[in-house]
Amino acid sequence: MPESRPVRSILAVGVVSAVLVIAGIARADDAGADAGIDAGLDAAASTDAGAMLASSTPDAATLDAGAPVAAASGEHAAPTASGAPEAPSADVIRTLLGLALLIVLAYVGGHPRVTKLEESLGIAQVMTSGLPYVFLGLLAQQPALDVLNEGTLRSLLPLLQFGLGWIGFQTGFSFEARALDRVERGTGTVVILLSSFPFVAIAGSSALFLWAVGLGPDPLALARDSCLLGLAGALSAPTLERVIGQRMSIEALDLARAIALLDDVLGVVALACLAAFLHVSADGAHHWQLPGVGWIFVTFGMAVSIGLVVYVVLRGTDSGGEKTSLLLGSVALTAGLAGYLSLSPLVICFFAGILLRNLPGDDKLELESTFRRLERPIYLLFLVIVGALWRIDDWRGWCLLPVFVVARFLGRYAGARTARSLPESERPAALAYADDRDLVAPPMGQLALAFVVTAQTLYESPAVQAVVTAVIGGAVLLEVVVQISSRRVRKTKPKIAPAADATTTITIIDEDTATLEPPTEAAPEGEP
Amino acid sequence: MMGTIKRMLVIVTLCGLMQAVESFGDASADPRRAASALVVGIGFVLIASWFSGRIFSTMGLPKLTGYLAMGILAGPLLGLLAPTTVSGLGIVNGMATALIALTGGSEMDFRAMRPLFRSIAWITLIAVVGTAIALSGVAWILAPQLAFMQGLSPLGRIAIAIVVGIVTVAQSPAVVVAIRAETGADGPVARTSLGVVVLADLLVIVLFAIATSAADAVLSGTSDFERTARNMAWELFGSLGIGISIGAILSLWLRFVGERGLDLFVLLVCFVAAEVGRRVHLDPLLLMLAAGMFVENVSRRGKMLRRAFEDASLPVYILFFTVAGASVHLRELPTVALPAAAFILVRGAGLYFGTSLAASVAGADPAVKKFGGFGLLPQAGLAIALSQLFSRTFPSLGPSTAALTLSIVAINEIVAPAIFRTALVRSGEAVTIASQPEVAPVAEAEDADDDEPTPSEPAT
Repeated sequence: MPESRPVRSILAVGVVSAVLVIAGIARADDAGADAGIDAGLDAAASTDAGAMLASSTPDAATLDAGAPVAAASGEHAAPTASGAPEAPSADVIRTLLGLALLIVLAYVGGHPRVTKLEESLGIAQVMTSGLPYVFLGLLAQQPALDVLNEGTLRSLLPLLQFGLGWIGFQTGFSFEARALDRVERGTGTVVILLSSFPFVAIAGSSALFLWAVGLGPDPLALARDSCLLGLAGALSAPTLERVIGQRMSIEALDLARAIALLDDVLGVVALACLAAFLHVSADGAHHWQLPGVGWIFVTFGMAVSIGLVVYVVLRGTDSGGEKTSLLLGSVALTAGLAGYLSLSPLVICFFAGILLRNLPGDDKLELESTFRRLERPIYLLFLVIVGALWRIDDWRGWCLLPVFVVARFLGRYAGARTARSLPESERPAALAYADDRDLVAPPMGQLALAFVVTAQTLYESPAVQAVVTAVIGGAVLLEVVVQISSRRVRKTKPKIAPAADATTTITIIDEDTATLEPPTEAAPEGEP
Repeated sequence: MMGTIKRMLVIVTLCGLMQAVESFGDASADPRRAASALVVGIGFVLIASWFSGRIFSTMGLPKLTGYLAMGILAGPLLGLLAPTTVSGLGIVNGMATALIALTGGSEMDFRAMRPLFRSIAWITLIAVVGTAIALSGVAWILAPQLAFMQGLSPLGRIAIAIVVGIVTVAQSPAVVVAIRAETGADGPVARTSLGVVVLADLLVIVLFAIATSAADAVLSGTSDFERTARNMAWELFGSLGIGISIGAILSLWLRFVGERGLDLFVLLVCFVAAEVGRRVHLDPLLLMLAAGMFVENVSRRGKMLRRAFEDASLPVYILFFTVAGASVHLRELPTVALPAAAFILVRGAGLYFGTSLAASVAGADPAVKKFGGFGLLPQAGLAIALSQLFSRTFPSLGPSTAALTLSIVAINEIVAPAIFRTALVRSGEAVTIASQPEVAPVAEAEDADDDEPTPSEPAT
């Protein structure tokens, strides 16, 4: 057939090319130790760009004529993006392939089928917090693999800031003010009690610990680190229902969801105050020197003004590509501006997201869909970097871990007991339906991890690594506890049948209270 | 009008924000602030350039001209994007180059091009190759006036002049497709123009690879013909071979997975192909061009492929074209203004009269003889990519290499699409000239093309 001629031509060229490639590699191998592919790749070993075939000759050190398009080093070296000297090609290629692999894994992790598998196995909590990806990052930074080494991580710092901004923006965008109208009276008090008690317990005990092990020589830094740890511990994951929803009544589930949502807001407000009052100004004569209240105004003023700009920017886009592009740009702009002023990108983006959600407009669903489409790959990639930044060899972090977990447990227990002891008129009726177990040991969500990563991006402290270890370790431990506990309950208790009057299924709950639930799990079929 | 004013206000606001950021001083000393500067830069570029593209679009100019203009405005003119930020943003260059090549390759439907192949081949040979030779001659004649030619040996001057000739002759299938979509033009002029620019893409890429190899050999003083030939063979056939393998992988994905997740996968493939390929001396353009050709001609899924990554590629294109604009060395422009004008005139005349001559030789439609040459004038992605590759391949020649070639591209980008549009109207092939101009970069242009037959396809 005449149509097949071009196809045959292409295939012929492909075969010839493949033969040449193989022959070239074989010749390179034959040329000895210095002339193998590795030597060809290792451009640093010669002044030449190291065209692969050129290095098959013994005098590979001479300047070579090859590499017309891509002289990577040597006299005709192409500068790297950062303007720094080019790293050895073998390392760079390994890093690139490693990063590519991680991106593929992030994509796989975000695939709807994987999400469904997580749900069917009942491991949604662990997987939605993305902890396996943290461990993957930890693995990638090991010297044996050396995929995410110091240099690579430094160049990925912008991605970390962007990831924080993305988490903040998305969490804020899921908060609809009208949803507060449906929150039962007294819920706010319960949230404050359940958050403030563990905050105080964790902050106090960890401050003592950090001081005792010599990680708090500076009182200001000590206060900042311990408060940050307290804030992370005070939060609860918004996805509790995935694990224990089947055995909860609808009232208790609503309460758990409201608590998770409100303690997020409370936590971010507290983080904003923390970043403002214990603000670390970058060095430089041009940097503003403001009191804490001043930074509070800057924080909220920036969030509002950027939120308005983003609101204007995102209106009137025609296609999905434009919306994606502008959304990425908006988050990057907001996160970058925050980082420039040494403020938390998470906080600024969170409030900008709230503003965007609650201003009038009919494109919220489209935006939400764009968020969902990009959420998991970005989030999982972010977690890989978090894992790569985690230093597990700091024993003080592992010692801080039980202190953190026990203090959180005791703090939440005290908060729950205090809430139950409130007069009936001042506490929500749903509290009676909630088990102590669910109030006392809820798992920790992505925001808790984002809080401690914020510390890494904003300032340097000797205790940061210990704080990271405590929070990541605590998150794992709590999720394991919740898993074991809920499995045991599922075995001993009959599953509550869905009923229209008192209890319902997760699906119905999702539909009824869609605005209360952050859209972390609800990626539509077919979307990553 | 109100829309344009609103867009300008947004751009002014964003420029104000960037100015405020800049007032905090140099960020490069502090790694955290340097990272923030890069993130802000990405955000600013994605938003401001998009609005700039929309403004240019309403003026009947390609959106990518708007992206370039925003880059020039924010970079060398206003200094809102620091050089370190611009170089940091350059990480998308390789990926964008690979994406452009993949798109171009996936447009090359050999079966559909066959009826026009005689005209296309003659025009490519006479107009494109002839003009490249003429431009090389201009570069050689103007060598005393070109800063980057100073200090080169006579042979070196000839070698670099040939490279300059090839870089400056490059055309833009993206703009041709976009103008055709905008005007609804369908006829021998539109079809032949697209056929030529697509074929010329491949030819220019191959010639560029050969010429830079030879020039590199001449400049580095090595005269090992065997090694040079081997390197060229590796670069050409290695790129084509591995590119075909990549095309096979993409085809398998399209067949067994479908479009789901294809956008991220394509971006990933382009990123890896560009960065790894660059370091093992494979040509990313050839690599992905071969991949695109394989997908279109073997698996017949070129349109599906282009549609799948259209959304994901827009941010990459915006960043790429804006960075290209921000990288223009305005200080060098006065020194290259006159040579650039000479190049533009010779290029225009060469392509126009070369097309007329070739159309006569091939016995093409009279309209092709009269108007076909205008379709070869626009320049965009490939020309910018080649300019940057030229500059990066020969950094010792200094920044004026990119200044010359990019200034030629910039002027052709602004002027040529409007000329081609007028030519299509005059030829009677344009049907919807009163509609809102919506000239877009590659990805956007493809979408419009998907709904109707490829210009190079025979009329049905």
